[in-house]
Amino acid sequence: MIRKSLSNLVSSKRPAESLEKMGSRPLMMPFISGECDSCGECVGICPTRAISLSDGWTIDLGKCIFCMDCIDSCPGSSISKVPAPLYALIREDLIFSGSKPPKESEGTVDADKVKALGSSMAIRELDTGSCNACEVEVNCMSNPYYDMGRFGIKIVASPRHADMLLVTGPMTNNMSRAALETFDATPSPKAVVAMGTCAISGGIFAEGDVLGKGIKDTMAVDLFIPGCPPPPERFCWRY
Amino acid sequence: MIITDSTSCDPVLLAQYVKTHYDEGWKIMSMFASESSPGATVNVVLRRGGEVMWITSDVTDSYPAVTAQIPAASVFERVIYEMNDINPEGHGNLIPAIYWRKGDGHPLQKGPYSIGDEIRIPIPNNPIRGTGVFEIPVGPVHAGVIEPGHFRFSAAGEPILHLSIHLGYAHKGIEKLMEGPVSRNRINLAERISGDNAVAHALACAHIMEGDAEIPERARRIRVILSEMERIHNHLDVIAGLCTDTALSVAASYGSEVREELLRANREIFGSRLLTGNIIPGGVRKDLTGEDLSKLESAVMRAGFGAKKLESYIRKTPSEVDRLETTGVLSKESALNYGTVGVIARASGVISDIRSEVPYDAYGDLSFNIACRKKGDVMARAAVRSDEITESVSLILQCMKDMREGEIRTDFETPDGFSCGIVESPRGELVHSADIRDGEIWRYNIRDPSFVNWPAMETAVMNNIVPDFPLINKSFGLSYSGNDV
Repeated sequence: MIRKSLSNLVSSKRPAESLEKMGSRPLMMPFISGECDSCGECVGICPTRAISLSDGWTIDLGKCIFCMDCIDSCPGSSISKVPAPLYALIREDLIFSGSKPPKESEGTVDADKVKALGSSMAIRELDTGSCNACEVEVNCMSNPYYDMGRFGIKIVASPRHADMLLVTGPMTNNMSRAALETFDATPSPKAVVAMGTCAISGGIFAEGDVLGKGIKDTMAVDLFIPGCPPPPERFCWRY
Repeated sequence: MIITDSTSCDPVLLAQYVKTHYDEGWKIMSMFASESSPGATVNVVLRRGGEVMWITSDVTDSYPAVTAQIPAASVFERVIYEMNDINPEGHGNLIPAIYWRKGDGHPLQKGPYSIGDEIRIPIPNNPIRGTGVFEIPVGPVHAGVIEPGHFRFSAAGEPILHLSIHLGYAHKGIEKLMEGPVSRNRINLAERISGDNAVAHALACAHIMEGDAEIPERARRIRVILSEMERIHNHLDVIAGLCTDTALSVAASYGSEVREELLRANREIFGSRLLTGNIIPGGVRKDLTGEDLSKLESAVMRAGFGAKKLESYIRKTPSEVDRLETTGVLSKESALNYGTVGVIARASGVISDIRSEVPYDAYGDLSFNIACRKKGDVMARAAVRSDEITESVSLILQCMKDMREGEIRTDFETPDGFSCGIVESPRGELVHSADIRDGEIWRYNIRDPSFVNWPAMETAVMNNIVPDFPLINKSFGLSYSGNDV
């Protein structure tokens, strides 16, 4: 995902590796497949109010926590699982409806920024109060199966060394000041990636003791990665 | 979970009443305040073996602190003070535990509460002073990929003289979010209290919702399988993490590889790497087919073998053993005084395991040993975890053996009143307590094992060198999010 959207970061001479080889299964999201009679069962059951019927059947993948309760609840079995896109550059690209079905992600982050960041990627992971599932998956990126170091992606200890902030969590009020200081401490140009549902929209904690609805309300976000949590191969995949 | 005994008590006598029970072998499981009209109620949940006692005490705005009699109540009363604005008199150390802000009213009050006019409470310096003593503040943004927390070490040279742990950065107000009509989608929230212990939290929440409903045999067995799969991957993570922290790279890579294989097996069999979405109130979501069971068997056998090999990597490396042994010792006395639970307690010689004391789901029909060590150091905790993986493998195999076909979910009705969900999570005894009135959750309290284990770490690091702190922290393997809820 980082590979694709921030393309040309790593020398193209390195061997390619497909998602399949990394053992990837597509992240599945619920989507309307049959006739919808607007009964509202799925809207009522959805814990994060990701589904709405006001303008046809619409799902906001930035709010979805992939619990699949909507599939179970649908009396007509009209909701089924479809592959979810890997990332989105703007928040609105994560909202899907019958007229705008989920499709393969495309586009890259601002070319000037990508060029300025150079040929490898130093990531500072910033937890703004996540449930720690995202941390589990970020840690898994370093294990021998994914080994993101071989793609030139590494986790660094200080924001001062970082090109990119990988932000997880819903930005709790208690963490907001430290998070903003971390943002300021990261030298420009920097990329900010909102990882997981909480960071994108606040997710299931949107009504809790959090600041705004996701981190985009406190810092400029370059990239959104949906998932709860997003599987690790989505980060270090290159093709 | 049925409460075996429920009593009410005058607030003036509460401390003495709890102390009397404490001396008779009852342990404080959870303690919290809930709003009632007028005033508030302080709830204390005690447990002795399989008996659970719920003590309520109506207070106005203060009561004599239980902490004065029982040190283990300290952290609970700090939370009562900041979240419910009830003053435990004579507590002595009422610095915030998780909220760190003060406004007009209190965050858990019914009705509107504005956080706009709150002021932040500054984090205090350590009380240690003297020539050559310096203070090292660490966090909340750490060097590794871990959750946010703030640590203040006082050190003179290398040894740590004092450690203050200040948490609360991951406070999301989950207890408040839990309130409202009883609905099955509360379990999605429970799973996200601490993401790596999703099954345990979901189970505790499900036990509250199900009341006395009889869960089908097959569902109960699948629940045990899920719980034990979670235990294995958590323990593998901690043991591999210890190797990472001590630069035993080969073992660390091997450990994380074994864990990754297990997480992939989870995805294949249960549809989620961290097993979310599998527990639902009344049963489980997904039935296991014959093919799933054979995949499961090979996955757990490999994990069990991998854990043994990982342990031998550690034991065969003298420098590693030297690093782990006698580091971060938590004495049995401290473990008891702090009321520690789970792996940390068992590594210090306190034998306590909810799975055998208050058997839930299918644990009553299965046989297993409780892993235990006496030394209370990092090595002992690693050894307990390693042994528990072996037991978990055996438990899963027992569950799979002669698993009969049948229903996997049933209808249930949530009863009104007090109820508790008690589960042995990978970190230890996990308690959810709920007060349900007219089908609405009036107060929901979450006590993650981390909550009672964090304060014990302040003692365990004493006189260890600062570079050993990450090692001790990892060996405790605690959750920040679960603590801060």
